Amino acid sequence: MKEVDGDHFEAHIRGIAADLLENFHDYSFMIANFGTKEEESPIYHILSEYGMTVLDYPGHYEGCPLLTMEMIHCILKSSESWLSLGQHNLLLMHCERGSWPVLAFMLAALLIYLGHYSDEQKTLDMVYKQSSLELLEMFAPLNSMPSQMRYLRYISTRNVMPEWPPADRALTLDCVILRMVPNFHGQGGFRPIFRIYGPDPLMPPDQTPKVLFSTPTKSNLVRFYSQVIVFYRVIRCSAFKLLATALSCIIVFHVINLLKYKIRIFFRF
Amino acid sequence: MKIDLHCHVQGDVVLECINLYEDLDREEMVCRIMFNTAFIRSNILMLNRDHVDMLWNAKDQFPKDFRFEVSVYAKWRTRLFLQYMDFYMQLLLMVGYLFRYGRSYFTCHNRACYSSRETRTWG
Repeated sequence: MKEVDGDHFEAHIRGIAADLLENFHDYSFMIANFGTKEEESPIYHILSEYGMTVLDYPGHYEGCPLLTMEMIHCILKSSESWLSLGQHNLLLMHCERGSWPVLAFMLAALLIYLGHYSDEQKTLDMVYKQSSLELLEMFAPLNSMPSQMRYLRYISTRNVMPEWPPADRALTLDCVILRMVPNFHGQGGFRPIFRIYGPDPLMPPDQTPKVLFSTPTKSNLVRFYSQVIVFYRVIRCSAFKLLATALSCIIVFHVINLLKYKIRIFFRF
Repeated sequence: MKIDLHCHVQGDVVLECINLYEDLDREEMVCRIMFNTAFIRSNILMLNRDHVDMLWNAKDQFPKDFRFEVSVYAKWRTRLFLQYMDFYMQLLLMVGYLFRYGRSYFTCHNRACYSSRETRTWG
């Protein structure tokens, strides 16, 4: 992966395009470009001159380096049909600054979709190894591999499910339960707020993601959860359970003893 | 520790858990999950610390047995319907039964019953 600055960018891309056309002169190219910007990418204008098809895709979904399932499905389907059209069709993937995680995910997804690989974790690791970890950490503050793994698993269920992707389903997120509290203040606890982004289920035609839920920061809902207190509550709860079990054991024991006694009295032995 | 959300969602959803500093102004990302509602088959999403997105070096800040559980249910109408479906079925069966056998429901068909009554009254 190379970082190229402004003026050199065009020359660099032109050089690559010329190289490709020279080495693969009877091949056709399709380029999937993952970018952070909404408008048409500069690469689109440059490579169109060389007769290459460039498809622009967004570089993230609400800050998460993934795309919507609908878009993933669309990209996978178009890539599969393009590659299956002939031996002389090549698919190139390009990403703009900061969109490398999306490219890596889509490449892993395509490899799984086409059936070249089956292990999601290994495939994703293999793709990520093409670049250094420092570069990844520089562009993405969060390690988003767990969510990407989740989506890769969704993709690999294609072989199992009769209808893929399954029909959209409205759900209600009821609550979040945290069993243990992470240590975030250096005081052994944290003060959590939650935000949910997604398309509005009440307006189905409009698929643009919005903020669906946000804990108001100036309210009494924002509380400090200490590791010690939560641990104490867990202990208290389990202590109560233990006590209840012990009590019921004692009661059952006494009842059995009583029954034994009554039976002995009744039959007089 | 349970935090209520009660939020209707559909499609691709990003759920962020953010830590607020004491001044209630500065924020810091704790963890984030993204999922698609069409692929959720159970009523609870059980996630441990390897299943949530977090800052690159924040893994030590989470205890080993950290669990992040998201409780979900299908839209409330479906849920209510499912909850009361048994009741509706019973009601339907009862109404149907009454329509079919309603007239004969309160009359006695046991011949012995009639005969004994008759013998008792006449005898």
